[in-house]
Amino acid sequence: MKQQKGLLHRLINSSGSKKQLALALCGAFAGLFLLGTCSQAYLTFHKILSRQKDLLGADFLVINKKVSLLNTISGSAGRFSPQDVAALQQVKGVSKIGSFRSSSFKVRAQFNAGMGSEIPGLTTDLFFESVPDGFLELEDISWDWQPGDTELPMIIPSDYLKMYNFGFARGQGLPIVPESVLKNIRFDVLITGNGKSAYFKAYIAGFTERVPSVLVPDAFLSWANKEYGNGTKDLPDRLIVAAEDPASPEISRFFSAQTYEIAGGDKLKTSRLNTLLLVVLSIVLSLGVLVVLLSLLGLIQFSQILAYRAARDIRVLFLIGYTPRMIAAPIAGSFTRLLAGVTIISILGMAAAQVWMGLFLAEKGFETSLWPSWEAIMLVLLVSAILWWYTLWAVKRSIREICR
Amino acid sequence: MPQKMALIFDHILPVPLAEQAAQNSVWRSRLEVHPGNHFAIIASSGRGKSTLVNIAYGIRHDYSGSYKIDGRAASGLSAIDWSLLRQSTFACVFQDLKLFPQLSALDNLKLKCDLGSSFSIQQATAMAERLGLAPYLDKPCGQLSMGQQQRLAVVRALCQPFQYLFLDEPTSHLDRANADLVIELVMEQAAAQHAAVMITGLDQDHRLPHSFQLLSV
Repeated sequence: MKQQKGLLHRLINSSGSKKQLALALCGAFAGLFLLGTCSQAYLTFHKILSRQKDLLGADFLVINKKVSLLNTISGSAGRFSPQDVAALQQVKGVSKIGSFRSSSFKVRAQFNAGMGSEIPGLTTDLFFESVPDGFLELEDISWDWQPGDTELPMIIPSDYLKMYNFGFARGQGLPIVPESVLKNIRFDVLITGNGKSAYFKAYIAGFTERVPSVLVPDAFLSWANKEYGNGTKDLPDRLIVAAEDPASPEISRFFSAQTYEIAGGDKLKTSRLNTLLLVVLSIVLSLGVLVVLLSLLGLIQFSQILAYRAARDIRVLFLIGYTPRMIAAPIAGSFTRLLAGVTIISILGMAAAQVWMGLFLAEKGFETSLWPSWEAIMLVLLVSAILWWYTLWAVKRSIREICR
Repeated sequence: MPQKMALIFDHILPVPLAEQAAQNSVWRSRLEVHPGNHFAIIASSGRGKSTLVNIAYGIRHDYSGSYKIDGRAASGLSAIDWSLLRQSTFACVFQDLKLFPQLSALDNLKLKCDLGSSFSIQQATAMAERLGLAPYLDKPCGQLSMGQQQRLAVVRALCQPFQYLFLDEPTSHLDRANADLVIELVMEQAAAQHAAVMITGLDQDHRLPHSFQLLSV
């Protein structure tokens, strides 16, 4: 039987062009390698960028009016009038505008570290602000608050923690505090106004790099302003703006014409660069899919030419008793071995690329795995299996047509 | 050993012969072939001798009427059905031989022997030696003379179990002595397998045994 396979192999496979098969397999390697490496890079960067994600969505901007001597004297003190909001609403690309709500009562926060703790106790006056809940991306944070609740979640700028860790703590010889530790600390918050006061146990639910304020749930601030506030309804001095493309030229022009300032504007650029990076990776990924498709076409064409050139021999084999399946077996065997080799080399190439990328990113301060991602390996195996199945289907179909 | 089966040709009429087929020919009648029967079709070119063999062996399907193999319509058989028939029941020497010129004579026989376990390459080689092919077995088949190739095609057809042996002008390129050897070997193998033989030729061939019944096409 082995001898039969050898003879059949010589008869059938000698009809194909080795150069064309080599080209098609090189294409399959390039396609699988690109596909695997790019999907791997996409997943790696996506993970890194997800870790850096801000509680404020990438499509939102926080703006305020530039504080100048003129508006200080005029008393408007940089607040947004209804006309300002209406004009902003007209700008192309702006989809939603929300106002910051500010606390109109006194807030005092106190932290008692307890005996033996290295973290110092502190007391400070604070202010609260809130934005409508729809503007925050609060996947893992409990942000609901109802009157009667004694616990109060807060979101603070991550710069506050950096100021403590790299400024205050270093200067005072105190230990630095990671985010995870700070999230477990409870503060006593005392709010006073209208001759009344109330205590809350506040805790830090999250950090933001793009809102320079202490945020509390809008429901809490609305309730507390009513109960403890001075009753005045001030115009907002900060707005949160939702835009399809926050860095679009129309919005930038409008903001500079109106002398509006964007909070965390540099981080907005980074966010756009991140998006751009993912787009570029997606394009290269699409290129990988295209190369795989081209190699598939090459393999199908190879199989058709092979069957065409060997048509006479295939027909005679069929007439002396060989079944179409027996005739296809040597082609299937060779092709399976070659494609398996190409797939293994592609996966090894992907692994090498991941090690290189991991080391490169580690140098830049990003921690990533040096192992190839199983999702990318599965994708390569899946695409390779599709290539294998479809090419063999094309070979068998050609042989069946000749034997008909 | 597969069960013995019958071939029934019932008014089969190939499309190209529709107008010229004679009333008393095989095309206008019913013919039953059973294992052990011997038929000879002797006619001039263009009368459909090869067509009959090709229809019987499943190479051509362009005919009206009915051709049944063991009660099943031949037109309904799949490619795999035909392959299985050709492995164990039907054997054929084609008019154009259908050898593989790029392979040696021996490899041509091996390809057939390897298809089943009934015939060893030694048995095939012994038959080839009886037909005077021993010195040529290692040569590429394409370099052999037509006569040598024809004898090789006969040996290849005999290297398998069969109940029906179709031979389409198997001695057309042979001299008298080699033709006698071929017919002797064919009849010996057909008798051993109790097989039917259907042979075509251009002239009434007095070398054929008397058991052959002449068919008109």
